Amino acid sequence: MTSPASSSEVKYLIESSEGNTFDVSGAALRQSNTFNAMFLNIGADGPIPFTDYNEATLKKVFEYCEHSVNEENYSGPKHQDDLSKWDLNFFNEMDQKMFIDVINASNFLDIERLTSYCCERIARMLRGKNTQEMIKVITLPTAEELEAKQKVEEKKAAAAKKVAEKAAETAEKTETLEELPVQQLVQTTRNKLTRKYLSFSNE
Amino acid sequence: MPIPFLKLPYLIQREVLKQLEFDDIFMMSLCSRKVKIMIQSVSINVDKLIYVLSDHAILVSVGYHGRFQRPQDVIILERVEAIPRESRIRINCEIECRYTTRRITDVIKVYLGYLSWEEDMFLKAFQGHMNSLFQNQPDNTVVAGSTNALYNSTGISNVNNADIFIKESDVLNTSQLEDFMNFHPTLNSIHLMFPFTGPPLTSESKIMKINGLSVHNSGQRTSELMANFCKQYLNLTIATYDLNDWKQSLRKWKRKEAYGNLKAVITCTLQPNFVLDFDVFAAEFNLQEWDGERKPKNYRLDTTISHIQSEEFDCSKWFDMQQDGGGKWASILLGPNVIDFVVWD
Repeated sequence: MTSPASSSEVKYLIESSEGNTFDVSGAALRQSNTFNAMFLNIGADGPIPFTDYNEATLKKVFEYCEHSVNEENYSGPKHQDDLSKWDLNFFNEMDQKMFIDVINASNFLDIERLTSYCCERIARMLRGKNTQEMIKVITLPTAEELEAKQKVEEKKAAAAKKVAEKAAETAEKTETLEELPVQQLVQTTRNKLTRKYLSFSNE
Repeated sequence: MPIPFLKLPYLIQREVLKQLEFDDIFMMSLCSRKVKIMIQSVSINVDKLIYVLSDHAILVSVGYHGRFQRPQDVIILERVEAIPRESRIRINCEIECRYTTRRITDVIKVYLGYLSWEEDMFLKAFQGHMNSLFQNQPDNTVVAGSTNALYNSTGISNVNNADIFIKESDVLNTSQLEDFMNFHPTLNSIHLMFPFTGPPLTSESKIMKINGLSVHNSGQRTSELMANFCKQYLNLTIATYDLNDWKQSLRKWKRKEAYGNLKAVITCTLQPNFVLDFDVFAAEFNLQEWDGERKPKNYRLDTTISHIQSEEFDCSKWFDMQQDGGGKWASILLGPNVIDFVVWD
């Protein structure tokens, strides 16, 4: 790995989902294992398209990478209590949507340190909680909500069954109506043939 | 800040679970069926599930075989008379129970209360739920501190190990022990921490046919334990034996009359005037010094039985003896307070 001083001289253009581009230093970008696997050896001619993520998210992710360029090598997950003031501010100023976008982007870009800190943050939200509290944190429906949902689904299923039964009934009636002219036709043909046969036998 | 956990990438879910202790993972597993399935996909392994039984409650912990690994408490199960709606959760989507927390000496303990008349059903569902969370099949260990607790253990199935520490005020007798063995036919080892009473044990007693038996403070019952044990590991501490006990056992082993499955007998005694006539002993059993050729220097006592420590013995100062007719070799350590006997495979 190049030293931070020399790698910071190299800049890469990153393209976001909005089509906007912005600069990221090589040293910061090298924290992404996805980048290392895809572009480090072959290089990139134009902007590197990370178009599944918006500009704000990518900027936030690379802000973290830029900051941690000078930190010692990553050595496994850190406990939340060991995070620096900067790290804590970084996480605290994110709202829920941004936090989830950052986790997803960090996971895609395979930035170990950031991913691990994000996971530790989620783990911290869950530690020591009871089941009901956990359900709220991980936004699962509660037993009552599930029960209500099941009732609604049962009602919907019953209504759909009724509609299907009515449709089947209507179809049966239509079939009878459609069958009538055919029977009449058969009878008429039969009568004609009988008359023809009779006239033929008279001759 | 709520997090749509199940919508996060799998690697993130797995990493979060890795950073949680098992008690939190257990609470999460009760959130929903989908969360439970996600936990199952992470492949958690523990060596044993420990059920510590008292008269009114069961402390459930997860444990590992390592010598310095402390078991980690997961939850306390207790009987209750009613389950209020606001604290109601379901185990395995079937049995309702009550969730509560209590602060006990600065530590918050988590309780699951179940209706006493549903005990068997609840314990079955609970065990099923717990076992389904692990990729491996952990051993189930029961720890009982009273004779009542022994009988309360009947709701727990597939018990592999038992630690029984019933003190003098509530002495365990051999018939209770046999009942306990009948309740748990899958038992693989038993550790008795205090002396027991009752009729003498014979080679037909179930406890004599268990793979690992440790009796702390075996005292006057040492002779019958040594004479009748017929499985792999016997560990007797604060034992009261005389030379004849050992002679009879070694004769039977040497002549292949008994102890066909034996791997190790580890004993220690506090008898102040235990005298070992080494020359007589050595002559009868043809004891030979270790020569480095017959067998390796170190014997690895390797067992998953928690109360018999896995350890390596340096047998270079021990004596070797062989079964008649060119049978198995064994090593014996003859000390003033310790006699250890290990059989080489």
